[in-house]
Amino acid sequence: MNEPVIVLNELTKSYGRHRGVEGISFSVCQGEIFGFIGPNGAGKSTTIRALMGLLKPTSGSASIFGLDCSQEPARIAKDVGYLPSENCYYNNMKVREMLLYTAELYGVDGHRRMEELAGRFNLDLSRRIGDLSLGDKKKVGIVSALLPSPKLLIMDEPTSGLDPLIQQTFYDLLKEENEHGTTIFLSSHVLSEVQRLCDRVAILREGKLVGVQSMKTLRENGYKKISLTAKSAIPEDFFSIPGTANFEQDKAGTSVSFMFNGSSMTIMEKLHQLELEDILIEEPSLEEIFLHYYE
Amino acid sequence: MLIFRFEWKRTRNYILIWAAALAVCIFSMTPVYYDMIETAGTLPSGFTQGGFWETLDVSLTLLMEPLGMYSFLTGFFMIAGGVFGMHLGLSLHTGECTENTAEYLYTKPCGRQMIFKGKMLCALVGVCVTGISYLLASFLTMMLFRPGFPVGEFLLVVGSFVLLTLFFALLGLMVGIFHPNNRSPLLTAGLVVFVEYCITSFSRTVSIRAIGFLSPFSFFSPSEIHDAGAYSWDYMLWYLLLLFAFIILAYKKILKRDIALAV
Repeated sequence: MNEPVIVLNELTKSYGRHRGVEGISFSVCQGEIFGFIGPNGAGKSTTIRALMGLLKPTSGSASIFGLDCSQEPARIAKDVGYLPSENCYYNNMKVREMLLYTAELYGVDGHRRMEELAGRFNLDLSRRIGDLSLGDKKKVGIVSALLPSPKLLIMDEPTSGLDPLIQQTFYDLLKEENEHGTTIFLSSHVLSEVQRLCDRVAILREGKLVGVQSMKTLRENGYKKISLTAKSAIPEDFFSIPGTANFEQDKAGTSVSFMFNGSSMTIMEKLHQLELEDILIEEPSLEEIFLHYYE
Repeated sequence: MLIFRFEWKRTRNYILIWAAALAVCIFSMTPVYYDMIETAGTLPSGFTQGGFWETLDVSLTLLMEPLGMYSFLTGFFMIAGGVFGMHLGLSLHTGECTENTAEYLYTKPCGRQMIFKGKMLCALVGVCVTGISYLLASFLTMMLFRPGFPVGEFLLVVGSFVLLTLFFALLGLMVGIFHPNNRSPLLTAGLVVFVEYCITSFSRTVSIRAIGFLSPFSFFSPSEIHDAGAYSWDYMLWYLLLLFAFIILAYKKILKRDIALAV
């Protein structure tokens, strides 16, 4: 296993009466694409802002490249490209000025890289930031994060506001960067995005970490989604067997759907007892697995 | 220097407009007021006996001096200088929060120390530019309309304007760091400067000098400059202590605080 790039150790950030995050611990290894998922308000941005040194942890610690995020954010930032969730930049500047300023702050000559990335994202460098659409501002943020060719990319909701074509360009670019050794940490609630890109994923719920799993394990943890329709009503407790979750039944009681990771023999026996009209057994989407975590 | 260059580029027009406006105003108003004083003999006898003049620390004797009317006018320009300085200092930090650019800037490798220094340098340069512009316009107008004025005393009066602007600029910087989510920095600056001015007026009216320590306007009394040819040492010492405190507190705070974001 590669050495860890990001390490969170019991990270807690509280804002008085408002909930922040509590006891978050996980690590992200070098070369990984790590997803950070959870609904709005779960604490994703708080965790990311603590990583970027914007917020000082109430307790616990966060480190990147072995350096404490609250003590040495400037040293860490040299090797980190960051895309915030909000696209707010200096509205009076032109895109080119803004990106060159970013390059200067990183101490790199960004001309060539800027032209290349702007070309790929179809970004007009001569326009004023204040005149850009939400999607174009997001492109500025992405180019700005990628400009210094960082060792680590931290992206908070990177594709919100991007059209599907640009999203595809973005995914391709992330994969290329990753192939060149860049570690990528991205938060999202677009689960298909995480499913498509990530090696591992951390799930956050109400400020607490629900779990960290590899995408492979998450999909292969045995859960299958079973949807079926029977000729007669199915008793409500018919599928009350170990391994059943997210059970839903229609009003007539003839159609049910549920997630199942119990014994295959048991479920086959149960199904055999029913007079089935239709049945669909499929791999659940990440959304469904994710919702299961929230049950 | 990178942060300073950027901040200077952002605030340059604002600073230059203030500097030009103050210069034009002092240049054009000084001869008007000196014309008025030439008719002092015809001024009503009660002209200088009201409390208003007391609050300004200007007497009829001082008004009749070559620099008297200029000192009187500078007293009002100091209010404008204070508002300019405090607004500049405040908005350097509050702007990052209210426009939501803090998340961009504070996640770059420059670090908080460099951001603080760059912004403070920008405020200092802003004060210098305004001060130099005020000095040149004042000197020119005095040379044209009141030649033969005492240069040393003149520099102290101009210095009052510059030092007061500096005071409010650094106060603004500190307040901006402590309360970055302030969406009305100009209103805040105006209110703070007005309250400070009122404190000085009050201390002069009740003749309690100690109250003057609460307001920088008291530190630069036109009559004390005229009589002693220098600023009061105790006020100056207090002034320097306050400036030092503003810088230290602001610096400590910016290193430790969470970066406030508008969203």
